[in-house]
This record gives sequence, structure tokens and C-alpha cells, in this order.
Amino acid sequence: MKSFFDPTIRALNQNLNLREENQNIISGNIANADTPGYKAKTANFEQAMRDALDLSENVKLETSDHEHFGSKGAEAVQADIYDDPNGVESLDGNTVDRAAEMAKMKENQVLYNASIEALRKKIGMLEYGVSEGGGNK
Amino acid sequence: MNSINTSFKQIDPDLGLRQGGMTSESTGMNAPGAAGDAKGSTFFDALQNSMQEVNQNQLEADASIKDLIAGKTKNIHETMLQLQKADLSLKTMMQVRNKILEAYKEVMKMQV
Amino acid sequence: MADFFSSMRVSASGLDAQMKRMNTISSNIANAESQGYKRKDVEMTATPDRESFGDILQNKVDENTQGVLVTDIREDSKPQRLVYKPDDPNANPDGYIEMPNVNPVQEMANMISAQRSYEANVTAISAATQMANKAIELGR
Repeated sequence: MKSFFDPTIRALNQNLNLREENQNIISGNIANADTPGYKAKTANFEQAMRDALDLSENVKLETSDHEHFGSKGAEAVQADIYDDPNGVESLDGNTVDRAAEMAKMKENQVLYNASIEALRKKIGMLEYGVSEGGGNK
Repeated sequence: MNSINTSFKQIDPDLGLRQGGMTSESTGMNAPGAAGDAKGSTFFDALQNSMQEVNQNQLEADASIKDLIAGKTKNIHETMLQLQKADLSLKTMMQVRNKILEAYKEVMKMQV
Repeated sequence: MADFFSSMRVSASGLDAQMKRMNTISSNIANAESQGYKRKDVEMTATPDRESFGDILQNKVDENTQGVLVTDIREDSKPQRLVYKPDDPNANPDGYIEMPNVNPVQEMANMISAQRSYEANVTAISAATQMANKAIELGR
């Protein structure tokens, strides 16, 4: 089924994966908002997404047919998860900023939903094309 | 875009047939033949323009999506509108194509 | 192991921990004047999320997804408050009795913090649930 989906759909799929991962990280931070010594985690997955898209662009240039995507590309990208260096330590060594994490979570949710909607639209257009507009007698 | 190309190719031989079929020799009538030829090329051009526009809209929508997920823009409504535009232009083009096919079949019925 | 269930388990662990913390705080406030009571604290540790018993057996952990566990409810080791009351039968030789080292203001602040954290975890679960449901819509 790989060849059925164009690079944009694959990229959207990978974006959904990364945002899901981000939700995990953020909820981990929120759950540990009061744990002494806990360092808030963060991931720069927008950079990972950019890398994935660049990778797919470059691969496109080298192959004759964009169908010949190969195994590398948008799917192969993992985000780096690391302790947030900007974290401010409170008395017990905890660096979680609860309000900031809540804001991050909301943003993540909105962009996740946007990706789902975009994916739905794209697949809808493909389906429409396949059904030949329903007017072919 | 493959499905669109397929349906377009489907029209192409049809139109070619019509242009070839509606000559004054085969039907014995001058007026419809001439009118048919002229009409055929106009439809053809209109459809081709429509297709190019659809393709352009699709590419713009794809680029807009890529910007959104790469974090280059947080403009969600713009991306959504681009997608809607692409969707609508696709549907419009399909309807135009359907109408042409309908018209062709009507005309074909008339020949005998 | 990036799935929404992992996120929900983590948030659930947060809810549990904050609940225990609330109970401890309530206990402290209720017993602020109870002689012999020692103020309690919860000890929280970050723990990696584990999906199933099988995972626990194989010691398979995802270090990046960390929930929270209350590992201990320990008694405050700080010295008790001394109140001068020589008539009390429990008074020590100097005439002082030991009262719990509970600072009501501090406990109230902790309570508000626990409440906020609890709400934050609830929001996190809502977000994860909503996103998971949204993904199902793709199949429609």
C-alpha cells in the first residue's frame, strides 16, 4: 500500500506519530510536576519533521520516479528526547513549569487535530478521484 | 493524481473519435460536423486548463501542509482553505468531465 | 511505544500520586493540634511506564515515558513544636509538650498545588482521549 500514498500523506502520518510521542512526554512532565529532582523532558520534533521532509525531498531528486521511495524517508525519523536545558530549578530540584506544559499540550493537541483533518481531506480527494466523481454512467 | 490522469485519458480517445467521426463525409451533414469540431477543441482546452489548475491547487495544498507540519507556519486556517480549494477545484473538474461525457453520449445516440 | 494509552497511564499515575498527597495534607491539617502526631509527607519518584506484566518480566522499559509513583509516606523528621504546658501529664521535665510541626499555611499552599496538579493530569487525560478519538474519525 506504500505506493498508494503520496509523500505528503506519509509526512502527515509521521507528524501524527511524533505528536503522539510529544503527548506522552508532556503528560510525563505533568505527572511528575511535584517530584523532587525530576528534570522536565522535551523533544524537538519540529526539527525532526523538517529533517524528514528534507530527506524525502532529496530522495525525490535522485530517483527517476517518486514512487521509488524506498524504505528511507518520512517513516524513518525519530525525535530526540532530552532534558529541557531551559528548565528553571525550584527548591527541590524539579524543573517542570506546569503552566508551560499545559500550553504545550494544548498546542500539540490543536496541531494534531489539524493534521488529522488535513489527512482526511487528502484521502477524501483520492477517494473522490477513484470513484470517478460518481457521474460515470 | 493518477486517477485524474486515467479519467482524462478516457476522455481523450472519446474526443478524438468525435472529432474524427463528425466529418461531413461520415454523417453527410456539414453543419453539425463543423460545429462539432469547433466545440470539441474548446471543451478539450477548457478541460485541460481545468486540469492544470487542479494540479496547481493540489501542489499548493501539499506545500501548505508541509509548511504546517514542519513548523514554518502556525497558520492552520490557511492550510485548511488551500485544501478546500484543491478539493473544490477537483470536484468542479470532475463535474465538467462528467458533463462532457454525458454530452458526447447524447450526441452518439443521435447518429443512428 | 508511542501510543495514547501510555500517555493515559502516566496521567493516571499522576492522579493517584496527587490524591495520596491530598490525603496526607488533609491528615496533617486535621491533626495539627493532636499531641503525638507526626507530620507526614509523600515521597514521589519518577517511574518508567510499563505496559504489561510481560514487559515487567522482560524488564522492557521506555525511558522516555515516565509516570510517578508514591514510594513512601514518611514522617517529617524535623523536630516537633514545643509548647509550654507544665500541667499536662505528658509534659517533659522542662514543662513542654510536643505538638505536631504542622504549619497550616504551608499545608494550604501544598493543598492548592496538589489540586492544580490533579486538574492538570485530568486535562492531560482528556487531551489524549480526544486525540485518540479523532484518529478513529480517519476511518469514517
